[in-house]
Amino acid sequence: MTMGIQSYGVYLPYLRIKADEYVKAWGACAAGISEKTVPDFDEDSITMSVAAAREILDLTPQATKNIAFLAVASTSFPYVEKATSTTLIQALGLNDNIFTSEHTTSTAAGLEALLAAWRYLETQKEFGKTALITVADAPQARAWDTLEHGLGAGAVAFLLTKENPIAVMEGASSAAQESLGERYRRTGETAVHDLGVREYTSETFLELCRRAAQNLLKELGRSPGDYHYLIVGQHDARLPQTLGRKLGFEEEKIKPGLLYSSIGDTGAASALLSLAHILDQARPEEKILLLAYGSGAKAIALSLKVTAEIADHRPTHTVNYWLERKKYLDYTRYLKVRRQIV
Amino acid sequence: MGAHISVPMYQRSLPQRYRLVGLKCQKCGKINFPPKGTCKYCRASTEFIEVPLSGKGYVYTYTIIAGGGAPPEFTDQALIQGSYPVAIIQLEEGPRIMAQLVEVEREEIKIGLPVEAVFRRIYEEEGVIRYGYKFRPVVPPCKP
Repeated sequence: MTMGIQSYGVYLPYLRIKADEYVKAWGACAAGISEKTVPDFDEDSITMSVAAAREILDLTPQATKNIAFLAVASTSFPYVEKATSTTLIQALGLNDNIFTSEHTTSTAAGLEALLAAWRYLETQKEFGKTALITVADAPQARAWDTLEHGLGAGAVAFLLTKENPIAVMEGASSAAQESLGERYRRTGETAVHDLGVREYTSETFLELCRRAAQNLLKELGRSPGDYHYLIVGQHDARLPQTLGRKLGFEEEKIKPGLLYSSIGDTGAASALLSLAHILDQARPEEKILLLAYGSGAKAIALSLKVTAEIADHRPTHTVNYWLERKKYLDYTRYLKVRRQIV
Repeated sequence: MGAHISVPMYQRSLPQRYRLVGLKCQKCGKINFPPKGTCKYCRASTEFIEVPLSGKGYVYTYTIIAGGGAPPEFTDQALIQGSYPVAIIQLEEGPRIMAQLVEVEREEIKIGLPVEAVFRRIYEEEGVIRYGYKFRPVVPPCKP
Protein backbone atom coordinates (compact mmCIF):
# COMPACT_ATOMS: atom_id res chain seq x y z
CA MET A 1 0.00 0.00 0.00
CA THR A 2 1.40 3.36 -1.05
CA MET A 3 -0.71 6.26 0.08
CA GLY A 4 -0.58 9.39 -2.01
CA ILE A 5 -2.02 11.76 -4.56
CA GLN A 6 -3.59 10.23 -7.67
CA SER A 7 -4.53 13.47 -9.44
CA TYR A 8 -5.27 17.12 -8.76
CA GLY A 9 -7.15 20.06 -10.18
CA VAL A 10 -6.88 23.81 -9.75
CA TYR A 11 -9.21 26.75 -10.18
CA LEU A 12 -8.33 30.44 -10.03
CA PRO A 13 -11.02 33.07 -10.57
CA TYR A 14 -10.90 35.03 -13.82
CA LEU A 15 -10.82 38.46 -12.17
CA ARG A 16 -7.68 40.25 -10.95
CA ILE A 17 -6.78 43.54 -9.36
CA LYS A 18 -3.30 45.07 -9.52
CA ALA A 19 -1.46 46.53 -6.55
CA ASP A 20 -1.44 49.83 -8.50
CA GLU A 21 -5.19 50.12 -7.97
CA TYR A 22 -4.59 50.14 -4.19
CA VAL A 23 -1.87 52.73 -4.65
CA LYS A 24 -4.30 54.95 -6.60
CA ALA A 25 -7.10 54.48 -4.06
CA TRP A 26 -5.18 54.47 -0.76
CA GLY A 27 -1.77 55.90 -1.60
CA ALA A 28 -0.07 52.55 -1.01
CA CYS A 29 -0.60 48.82 -1.24
CA ALA A 30 0.10 47.22 2.13
CA ALA A 31 0.65 43.74 0.65
CA GLY A 32 3.69 42.55 -1.28
CA ILE A 33 1.64 41.61 -4.32
CA SER A 34 1.87 42.71 -7.92
CA GLU A 35 -1.73 41.55 -8.47
CA LYS A 36 -4.22 39.17 -6.88
CA THR A 37 -7.17 36.97 -7.77
CA VAL A 38 -10.69 38.24 -7.11
CA PRO A 39 -13.72 35.96 -6.80
CA ASP A 40 -16.63 37.23 -8.90
CA PHE A 41 -19.79 38.32 -7.06
CA ASP A 42 -21.39 34.93 -7.79
CA GLU A 43 -18.41 32.85 -6.62
CA ASP A 44 -17.64 31.56 -3.14
CA SER A 45 -15.62 28.77 -1.57
CA ILE A 46 -18.27 26.23 -2.63
CA THR A 47 -18.44 27.21 -6.32
CA MET A 48 -14.63 27.34 -6.52
CA SER A 49 -14.38 23.90 -4.84
CA VAL A 50 -16.76 22.49 -7.45
CA ALA A 51 -14.69 24.06 -10.23
CA ALA A 52 -11.41 22.56 -8.93
CA ALA A 53 -12.97 19.12 -8.37
CA ARG A 54 -14.45 19.16 -11.89
CA GLU A 55 -10.94 19.69 -13.26
CA ILE A 56 -10.21 16.18 -11.93
CA LEU A 57 -13.52 14.47 -12.62
CA ASP A 58 -14.08 15.87 -16.14
CA LEU A 59 -10.76 14.29 -17.10
CA THR A 60 -11.49 10.96 -15.37
CA PRO A 61 -15.28 10.63 -14.95
CA GLN A 62 -14.88 6.93 -14.07
CA ALA A 63 -13.10 8.01 -10.85
CA THR A 64 -16.36 9.42 -9.43
CA LYS A 65 -17.84 6.08 -8.35
CA ASN A 66 -14.75 5.05 -6.35
CA ILE A 67 -14.75 8.09 -4.09
CA ALA A 68 -15.54 6.90 -0.57
CA PHE A 69 -14.58 10.01 1.40
CA LEU A 70 -14.91 13.73 0.79
CA ALA A 71 -13.07 16.31 2.87
CA VAL A 72 -13.69 20.01 2.28
CA ALA A 73 -11.81 22.97 3.72
CA SER A 74 -12.07 26.75 3.77
CA THR A 75 -11.97 29.59 6.27
CA SER A 76 -14.79 31.26 4.32
CA PHE A 77 -17.61 28.75 3.86
CA PRO A 78 -20.81 30.61 2.96
CA TYR A 79 -22.68 28.84 5.76
CA VAL A 80 -21.37 28.68 9.33
CA GLU A 81 -23.95 25.99 10.04
CA LYS A 82 -25.21 23.69 7.25
CA ALA A 83 -23.10 21.01 5.63
CA THR A 84 -20.99 22.21 2.73
CA SER A 85 -19.86 18.80 1.50
CA THR A 86 -23.43 17.92 0.48
CA THR A 87 -23.50 20.74 -2.08
CA LEU A 88 -20.42 19.15 -3.63
CA ILE A 89 -21.94 15.65 -3.51
CA GLN A 90 -24.90 16.92 -5.55
CA ALA A 91 -22.90 19.12 -7.91
CA LEU A 92 -20.32 16.40 -8.65
CA GLY A 93 -22.69 13.43 -8.62
CA LEU A 94 -20.77 11.61 -5.85
CA ASN A 95 -22.09 8.51 -4.08
CA ASP A 96 -24.63 9.46 -1.42
CA ASN A 97 -23.19 7.03 1.13
CA ILE A 98 -19.72 8.56 1.33
CA PHE A 99 -18.22 9.83 4.56
CA THR A 100 -17.51 13.53 4.72
CA SER A 101 -15.45 15.83 6.87
CA GLU A 102 -15.36 19.63 6.92
CA HIS A 103 -12.42 21.75 8.02
CA THR A 104 -12.39 25.43 8.83
CA THR A 105 -11.35 28.13 11.39
CA SER A 106 -7.73 28.48 10.31
CA THR A 107 -5.61 28.54 7.18
CA ALA A 108 -4.21 25.14 8.23
CA ALA A 109 -7.65 23.67 7.38
CA GLY A 110 -6.64 22.66 3.86
CA LEU A 111 -3.82 20.42 4.96
CA GLU A 112 -5.97 19.11 7.82
CA ALA A 113 -8.52 17.97 5.23
CA LEU A 114 -5.78 16.17 3.32
CA LEU A 115 -4.63 14.42 6.49
CA ALA A 116 -8.19 13.44 7.44
CA ALA A 117 -8.66 11.85 4.01
CA TRP A 118 -5.32 10.10 4.31
CA ARG A 119 -6.18 8.64 7.75
CA TYR A 120 -9.58 7.52 6.48
CA LEU A 121 -8.17 5.71 3.46
CA GLU A 122 -5.60 3.97 5.64
CA THR A 123 -8.41 2.28 7.57
CA GLN A 124 -10.14 0.98 4.42
CA LYS A 125 -9.42 -2.57 3.33
CA GLU A 126 -11.49 -2.45 0.14
CA PHE A 127 -9.48 -2.24 -3.05
CA GLY A 128 -9.70 0.80 -5.32
CA LYS A 129 -11.37 3.26 -2.96
CA THR A 130 -10.27 6.90 -3.15
CA ALA A 131 -10.80 10.13 -1.23
CA LEU A 132 -11.52 13.57 -2.67
CA ILE A 133 -10.31 16.75 -0.99
CA THR A 134 -11.39 20.22 -2.03
CA VAL A 135 -9.85 23.35 -0.54
CA ALA A 136 -11.07 26.79 -1.54
CA ASP A 137 -10.87 30.15 0.09
CA ALA A 138 -11.81 33.78 -0.42
CA PRO A 139 -11.12 35.51 2.88
CA GLN A 140 -12.63 38.98 3.40
CA ALA A 141 -11.56 41.93 5.52
CA ARG A 142 -12.95 45.45 5.89
CA ALA A 143 -12.08 47.71 2.96
CA TRP A 144 -10.25 50.18 5.26
CA ASP A 145 -8.16 47.49 6.91
CA THR A 146 -4.71 47.08 5.32
CA LEU A 147 -5.08 43.33 5.94
CA GLU A 148 -7.58 43.43 3.06
CA HIS A 149 -5.00 44.42 0.45
CA GLY A 150 -3.43 40.96 0.22
CA LEU A 151 -6.53 38.77 0.32
CA GLY A 152 -7.06 36.70 -2.83
CA ALA A 153 -9.04 33.60 -3.80
CA GLY A 154 -8.46 30.20 -5.32
CA ALA A 155 -9.22 26.50 -5.09
CA VAL A 156 -7.48 23.17 -5.42
CA ALA A 157 -8.69 19.58 -5.30
CA PHE A 158 -6.83 16.31 -4.81
CA LEU A 159 -7.81 12.71 -5.29
CA LEU A 160 -5.99 10.40 -2.86
CA THR A 161 -5.31 6.77 -3.62
CA LYS A 162 -3.62 3.72 -2.14
CA GLU A 163 -2.34 2.44 -5.48
CA ASN A 164 0.23 4.00 -7.81
CA PRO A 165 0.10 7.65 -6.68
CA ILE A 166 1.86 10.45 -8.56
CA ALA A 167 3.22 11.65 -5.20
CA VAL A 168 3.62 9.45 -2.13
CA MET A 169 2.71 10.99 1.22
CA GLU A 170 5.62 9.93 3.38
CA GLY A 171 4.75 11.44 6.73
CA ALA A 172 3.31 14.39 8.60
CA SER A 173 4.08 16.25 11.77
CA SER A 174 2.26 18.91 13.78
CA ALA A 175 3.07 21.74 16.19
CA ALA A 176 0.16 23.42 17.96
CA GLN A 177 -0.06 25.84 20.85
CA GLU A 178 -2.49 28.45 22.13
CA SER A 179 -1.48 31.78 20.68
CA LEU A 180 -3.44 35.05 20.88
CA GLY A 181 -3.58 38.19 18.79
CA GLU A 182 -3.07 36.69 15.34
CA ARG A 183 -5.59 36.74 12.52
CA TYR A 184 -9.12 35.99 13.77
CA ARG A 185 -12.78 36.26 12.84
CA ARG A 186 -15.45 36.05 15.51
CA THR A 187 -18.76 34.21 14.99
CA GLY A 188 -21.20 36.47 13.13
CA GLU A 189 -18.49 38.51 11.45
CA THR A 190 -17.54 38.36 7.78
CA ALA A 191 -14.23 40.20 8.05
CA VAL A 192 -10.95 38.81 9.37
CA HIS A 193 -8.94 41.02 11.73
CA ASP A 194 -5.57 41.08 13.31
CA LEU A 195 -4.09 43.25 16.01
CA GLY A 196 -1.32 44.46 13.76
CA VAL A 197 1.40 43.10 16.04
CA ARG A 198 3.49 41.76 13.23
CA GLU A 199 6.77 41.01 14.96
CA TYR A 200 5.00 39.00 17.61
CA THR A 201 2.88 36.93 15.19
CA SER A 202 5.85 36.38 12.88
CA GLU A 203 7.69 34.84 15.79
CA THR A 204 4.89 32.33 16.41
CA PHE A 205 4.71 31.50 12.71
CA LEU A 206 8.44 30.89 12.44
CA GLU A 207 8.66 28.93 15.69
CA LEU A 208 5.74 26.56 15.04
CA CYS A 209 6.67 25.94 11.40
CA ARG A 210 10.24 25.24 12.44
CA ARG A 211 9.09 22.75 15.09
CA ALA A 212 6.73 20.92 12.70
CA ALA A 213 9.38 20.77 9.97
CA GLN A 214 12.22 19.67 12.21
CA ASN A 215 10.12 16.98 13.92
CA LEU A 216 9.22 15.56 10.53
CA LEU A 217 12.79 15.67 9.25
CA LYS A 218 13.94 13.85 12.38
CA GLU A 219 11.19 11.24 12.08
CA LEU A 220 12.12 10.52 8.46
CA GLY A 221 15.85 10.76 9.08
CA ARG A 222 16.22 13.52 6.51
CA SER A 223 17.84 16.91 6.19
CA PRO A 224 16.87 19.95 4.07
CA GLY A 225 19.48 18.78 1.53
CA ASP A 226 17.30 15.72 0.74
CA TYR A 227 14.47 17.95 -0.52
CA HIS A 228 14.04 19.60 -3.91
CA TYR A 229 11.22 21.94 -2.90
CA LEU A 230 10.02 23.70 0.23
CA ILE A 231 6.41 24.89 0.08
CA VAL A 232 5.03 27.23 2.74
CA GLY A 233 1.48 28.61 2.91
CA GLN A 234 1.77 32.25 1.88
CA HIS A 235 -0.19 34.72 3.95
CA ASP A 236 2.30 37.50 3.36
CA ALA A 237 5.21 38.13 1.00
CA ARG A 238 8.21 37.70 3.27
CA LEU A 239 7.69 35.07 5.96
CA PRO A 240 7.89 31.94 3.77
CA GLN A 241 11.36 32.90 2.57
CA THR A 242 12.50 33.91 6.05
CA LEU A 243 11.36 30.51 7.30
CA GLY A 244 13.11 28.74 4.44
CA ARG A 245 16.41 30.42 5.33
CA LYS A 246 16.02 29.59 9.01
CA LEU A 247 15.37 25.94 8.17
CA GLY A 248 18.41 25.82 5.93
CA PHE A 249 16.71 25.62 2.52
CA GLU A 250 18.30 27.40 -0.41
CA GLU A 251 16.36 30.19 -2.11
CA GLU A 252 15.91 28.15 -5.33
CA LYS A 253 14.00 25.45 -3.43
CA ILE A 254 11.46 27.94 -2.10
CA LYS A 255 10.96 30.20 -5.10
CA PRO A 256 9.24 27.70 -7.46
CA GLY A 257 6.31 27.31 -5.05
CA LEU A 258 5.65 30.99 -4.39
CA LEU A 259 2.36 32.30 -5.78
CA TYR A 260 1.63 35.15 -3.37
CA SER A 261 2.78 38.00 -5.60
CA SER A 262 0.38 37.01 -8.40
CA ILE A 263 -2.67 35.67 -6.52
CA GLY A 264 -2.42 37.08 -2.98
CA ASP A 265 -3.28 35.27 0.23
CA THR A 266 -5.56 32.37 -0.70
CA GLY A 267 -6.13 31.38 2.94
CA ALA A 268 -6.59 27.66 3.54
CA ALA A 269 -5.88 26.96 -0.16
CA SER A 270 -2.48 28.67 -0.25
CA ALA A 271 -0.07 25.85 0.63
CA LEU A 272 -1.94 23.28 -1.47
CA LEU A 273 -2.26 25.57 -4.51
CA SER A 274 1.51 25.87 -4.34
CA LEU A 275 1.75 22.07 -4.10
CA ALA A 276 -0.27 21.82 -7.34
CA HIS A 277 2.05 24.38 -8.92
CA ILE A 278 5.10 22.30 -7.90
CA LEU A 279 3.47 19.06 -9.14
CA ASP A 280 2.95 20.81 -12.50
CA GLN A 281 6.75 21.02 -12.83
CA ALA A 282 8.10 18.19 -10.64
CA ARG A 283 10.02 15.17 -11.89
CA PRO A 284 10.00 11.59 -10.57
CA GLU A 285 11.92 10.97 -7.32
CA GLU A 286 11.87 14.64 -6.30
CA LYS A 287 10.95 15.27 -2.66
CA ILE A 288 8.70 18.04 -1.38
CA LEU A 289 8.41 19.43 2.14
CA LEU A 290 5.14 21.29 2.63
CA LEU A 291 4.17 23.53 5.55
CA ALA A 292 0.75 24.93 6.29
CA TYR A 293 0.15 27.39 9.12
CA GLY A 294 -3.02 28.52 10.84
CA SER A 295 -3.43 31.37 13.31
CA GLY A 296 -4.19 30.50 16.87
CA ALA A 297 -1.82 28.66 16.18
CA LYS A 298 -0.75 25.48 14.45
CA ALA A 299 1.71 24.33 11.84
CA ILE A 300 1.60 21.08 9.92
CA ALA A 301 4.44 19.62 7.90
CA LEU A 302 3.94 17.04 5.16
CA SER A 303 6.61 15.17 3.22
CA LEU A 304 5.93 13.98 -0.33
CA LYS A 305 7.90 12.07 -2.92
CA VAL A 306 7.05 12.35 -6.60
CA THR A 307 6.81 9.06 -8.55
CA ALA A 308 7.16 8.08 -12.20
CA GLU A 309 3.34 8.05 -12.45
CA ILE A 310 3.36 11.83 -12.64
CA ALA A 311 4.11 11.88 -16.37
CA ASP A 312 0.75 10.22 -17.15
CA HIS A 313 -1.40 12.30 -14.81
CA ARG A 314 -0.91 15.92 -15.78
CA PRO A 315 -4.01 18.09 -15.26
CA THR A 316 -5.94 19.68 -18.13
CA HIS A 317 -5.06 23.14 -16.84
CA THR A 318 -1.88 23.97 -14.93
CA VAL A 319 -1.53 26.74 -12.34
CA ASN A 320 0.41 28.76 -14.93
CA TYR A 321 -2.52 28.43 -17.32
CA TRP A 322 -4.94 29.86 -14.77
CA LEU A 323 -2.46 32.63 -13.92
CA GLU A 324 -2.53 33.78 -17.54
CA ARG A 325 -6.30 33.64 -17.93
CA LYS A 326 -7.51 36.90 -16.40
CA LYS A 327 -9.31 40.20 -16.59
CA TYR A 328 -8.37 43.27 -14.55
CA LEU A 329 -10.80 45.27 -12.44
CA ASP A 330 -10.42 48.82 -11.24
CA TYR A 331 -10.75 49.44 -7.49
CA THR A 332 -14.35 50.71 -7.60
CA ARG A 333 -15.48 47.68 -9.54
CA TYR A 334 -13.51 45.51 -7.12
CA LEU A 335 -15.37 46.98 -4.13
CA LYS A 336 -18.68 46.17 -5.82
CA VAL A 337 -17.72 42.63 -6.83
CA ARG A 338 -16.50 41.92 -3.27
CA ARG A 339 -19.77 43.40 -1.96
CA GLN A 340 -17.99 46.03 0.07
CA ILE A 341 -20.30 48.81 -1.20
CA VAL A 342 -23.30 46.89 -2.57
CA MET B 1 -41.81 40.81 -11.48
CA GLY B 2 -39.79 37.95 -10.09
CA ALA B 3 -40.47 34.27 -10.48
CA HIS B 4 -40.62 32.98 -6.92
CA ILE B 5 -39.35 29.44 -6.65
CA SER B 6 -39.97 27.95 -3.22
CA VAL B 7 -37.25 26.03 -1.41
CA PRO B 8 -39.09 22.66 -1.85
CA MET B 9 -39.43 23.30 -5.59
CA TYR B 10 -35.77 24.23 -5.85
CA GLN B 11 -34.84 21.16 -3.80
CA ARG B 12 -36.65 18.85 -6.24
CA SER B 13 -34.78 20.30 -9.20
CA LEU B 14 -31.28 20.14 -7.66
CA PRO B 15 -29.89 17.39 -9.96
CA GLN B 16 -30.72 19.47 -13.04
CA ARG B 17 -29.62 22.78 -11.53
CA TYR B 18 -26.36 21.52 -9.99
CA ARG B 19 -25.17 19.13 -12.71
CA LEU B 20 -27.54 19.24 -15.65
CA VAL B 21 -29.16 15.83 -15.24
CA GLY B 22 -31.59 15.31 -18.14
CA LEU B 23 -34.06 12.54 -18.93
CA LYS B 24 -33.58 10.40 -22.02
CA CYS B 25 -36.86 9.14 -23.51
CA GLN B 26 -36.82 5.35 -23.79
CA LYS B 27 -39.08 5.48 -26.84
CA CYS B 28 -37.73 8.24 -29.11
CA GLY B 29 -34.27 8.61 -27.54
CA LYS B 30 -34.45 12.41 -27.22
CA ILE B 31 -33.27 14.16 -24.10
CA ASN B 32 -35.72 16.19 -22.06
CA PHE B 33 -34.21 19.06 -20.11
CA PRO B 34 -35.60 20.21 -17.80
CA PRO B 35 -37.18 16.83 -17.01
CA LYS B 36 -40.80 16.27 -18.11
CA GLY B 37 -43.48 13.79 -17.02
CA THR B 38 -44.17 12.86 -20.63
CA CYS B 39 -41.57 13.18 -23.38
CA LYS B 40 -42.03 16.61 -24.97
CA TYR B 41 -40.77 15.33 -28.33
CA CYS B 42 -42.74 12.12 -29.04
CA ARG B 43 -45.48 12.72 -26.44
CA ALA B 44 -45.83 8.97 -26.31
CA SER B 45 -43.64 7.88 -23.41
CA THR B 46 -43.18 8.37 -19.71
CA GLU B 47 -40.21 6.02 -19.51
CA PHE B 48 -36.88 7.79 -19.05
CA ILE B 49 -33.35 7.17 -17.91
CA GLU B 50 -31.30 9.89 -16.21
CA VAL B 51 -28.32 11.19 -18.18
CA PRO B 52 -25.94 13.89 -16.94
CA LEU B 53 -25.38 16.35 -19.80
CA SER B 54 -21.87 17.48 -20.76
CA GLY B 55 -22.57 21.17 -20.21
CA LYS B 56 -21.05 21.90 -23.62
CA GLY B 57 -22.91 23.86 -26.25
CA TYR B 58 -23.06 27.18 -28.05
CA VAL B 59 -24.92 30.47 -27.83
CA TYR B 60 -28.17 30.05 -29.80
CA THR B 61 -29.26 33.60 -29.11
CA TYR B 62 -28.78 36.16 -26.34
CA THR B 63 -29.89 39.43 -24.84
CA ILE B 64 -28.55 41.98 -22.38
CA ILE B 65 -30.58 42.61 -19.23
CA ALA B 66 -30.25 46.28 -18.37
CA GLY B 67 -30.14 47.33 -14.71
CA GLY B 68 -33.77 48.39 -14.48
CA GLY B 69 -34.94 45.23 -16.22
CA ALA B 70 -33.58 42.74 -13.73
CA PRO B 71 -36.07 40.65 -11.74
CA PRO B 72 -35.98 41.40 -7.98
CA GLU B 73 -33.86 38.35 -7.09
CA PHE B 74 -31.18 39.78 -9.42
CA THR B 75 -31.26 43.37 -8.09
CA ASP B 76 -27.89 42.98 -6.33
CA GLN B 77 -26.35 41.61 -9.48
CA ALA B 78 -27.69 44.55 -11.53
CA LEU B 79 -26.21 46.97 -8.97
CA ILE B 80 -22.81 45.30 -9.17
CA GLN B 81 -22.68 44.68 -12.91
CA GLY B 82 -24.91 47.41 -14.35
CA SER B 83 -26.26 45.03 -16.95
CA TYR B 84 -25.62 41.37 -17.69
CA PRO B 85 -25.97 38.91 -20.58
CA VAL B 86 -28.53 36.10 -20.67
CA ALA B 87 -28.47 33.52 -23.46
CA ILE B 88 -30.32 30.57 -24.86
CA ILE B 89 -27.73 27.81 -25.01
CA GLN B 90 -27.96 25.06 -27.57
CA LEU B 91 -26.58 22.04 -25.69
CA GLU B 92 -24.61 19.29 -27.47
CA GLU B 93 -27.22 16.70 -26.49
CA GLY B 94 -30.12 18.63 -28.04
CA PRO B 95 -31.95 20.68 -25.40
CA ARG B 96 -31.91 24.49 -25.44
CA ILE B 97 -31.77 26.17 -22.06
CA MET B 98 -31.65 29.72 -20.74
CA ALA B 99 -28.72 30.81 -18.58
CA GLN B 100 -26.48 33.75 -17.77
CA LEU B 101 -23.12 34.16 -19.48
CA VAL B 102 -20.00 34.90 -17.40
CA GLU B 103 -16.35 35.75 -18.06
CA VAL B 104 -17.14 37.21 -21.46
CA GLU B 105 -16.83 40.73 -22.86
CA ARG B 106 -19.96 42.18 -24.42
CA GLU B 107 -18.38 42.37 -27.87
CA GLU B 108 -17.23 38.72 -27.70
CA ILE B 109 -20.78 37.40 -27.36
CA LYS B 110 -21.87 36.03 -30.72
CA ILE B 111 -24.45 33.55 -31.88
CA GLY B 112 -22.52 30.30 -32.21
CA LEU B 113 -19.98 31.09 -29.44
CA PRO B 114 -18.88 27.75 -27.88
CA VAL B 115 -19.65 27.72 -24.16
CA GLU B 116 -19.50 25.37 -21.17
CA ALA B 117 -21.44 25.18 -17.93
CA VAL B 118 -19.99 26.47 -14.66
CA PHE B 119 -21.37 26.17 -11.12
CA ARG B 120 -22.24 29.56 -9.63
CA ARG B 121 -24.49 31.32 -7.14
CA ILE B 122 -27.63 32.31 -9.03
CA TYR B 123 -29.38 34.34 -6.32
CA GLU B 124 -30.44 34.24 -2.68
CA GLU B 125 -33.96 33.96 -1.41
CA GLU B 126 -35.33 33.30 2.09
CA GLY B 127 -31.71 33.37 3.27
CA VAL B 128 -30.93 30.33 1.15
CA ILE B 129 -28.19 30.46 -1.48
CA ARG B 130 -29.53 29.14 -4.77
CA TYR B 131 -26.69 27.57 -6.71
CA GLY B 132 -26.98 26.53 -10.33
CA TYR B 133 -25.44 26.74 -13.79
CA LYS B 134 -24.19 29.65 -15.82
CA PHE B 135 -22.08 29.42 -18.98
CA ARG B 136 -18.62 30.73 -19.88
CA PRO B 137 -16.72 30.64 -23.18
CA VAL B 138 -15.02 27.23 -23.48
CA VAL B 139 -11.69 27.16 -21.62
CA PRO B 140 -9.44 25.12 -23.94
CA PRO B 141 -7.01 22.58 -22.47
CA CYS B 142 -3.34 23.47 -21.94
CA LYS B 143 -1.05 22.71 -24.83
CA PRO B 144 1.38 19.99 -23.73
